[in-house]
Amino acid sequence: MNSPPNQWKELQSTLDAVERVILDAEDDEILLEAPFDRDVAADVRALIKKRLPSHGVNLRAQSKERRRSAAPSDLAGRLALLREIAARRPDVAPRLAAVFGAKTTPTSADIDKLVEDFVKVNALPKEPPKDPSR
Amino acid sequence: MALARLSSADLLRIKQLARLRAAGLTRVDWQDLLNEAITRMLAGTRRWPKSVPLVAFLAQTMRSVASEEWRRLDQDGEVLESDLPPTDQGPPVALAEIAVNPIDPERETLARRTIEEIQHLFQDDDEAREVLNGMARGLTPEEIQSEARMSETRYASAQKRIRRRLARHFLTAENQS
Repeated sequence: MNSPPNQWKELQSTLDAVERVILDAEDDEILLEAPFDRDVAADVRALIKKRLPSHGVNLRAQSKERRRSAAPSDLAGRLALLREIAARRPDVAPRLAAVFGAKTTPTSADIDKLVEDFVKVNALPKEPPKDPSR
Repeated sequence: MALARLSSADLLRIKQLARLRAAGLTRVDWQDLLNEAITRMLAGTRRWPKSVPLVAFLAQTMRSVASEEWRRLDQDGEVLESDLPPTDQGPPVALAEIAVNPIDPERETLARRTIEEIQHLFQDDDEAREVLNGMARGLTPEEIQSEARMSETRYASAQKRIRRRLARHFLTAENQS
């Protein structure tokens, strides 16, 4: 059976083949063929530069937010989380001891501050703990 | 980060590849394709296998983004029976192929225009045109050489001219930005 002419397919085949030729070309050839009077790659460099820092910040912010949301909202849950962190992260144990070892009982504000501090050092788990009642 | 350490040659290569993939597309330009490829890479929606060079990976990703744009053209258009090309009294058109790869008139027009634009660049170079025709039909380099009775050296030379002329066309045509 005859297939209808498909110019889009022909264009894609051509572009695929030329793409391979560009990828296989020597660096020297690519550089020598560029106009010498201006930096034609400046816009590519600028585009990449613009994307990198903002992306890094976004990712870090997203990661912190994910971890913050992993902290239970109720006090009992937060205390249980701190106990779990103390067992898993010996590096933050002194910070816990400073709060819980004091003569006075830590307030809910102290607990919240601890949780926030642990968010900053990525001590919280990535995912919220499973609700045992379910 | 590997992206920040790309050499000048690779940056130029990426620009050529992005401009190449944007050929024929009307709603996005080469910077959109590159930007989207970088976004997908950084967000992890498109994983970069360490065995693949970064430039090749970005090329693959831009190809995929461009394909999506072409498909969007398909969805926006409607294929009518009258839009299909005549069959020359020969056997009927392969309906299964149309169903799998429908012909969209707008897409076809844009693709034809782009092919003509590329061919126009080589109107004084028969060998390059033969190589381009073979590429368009999806032939391998060996098949093109055999069909055009071309030696490997002449084929390589024609291929180089194609790359140079297209690079010059795509890199210096600032009106395409």
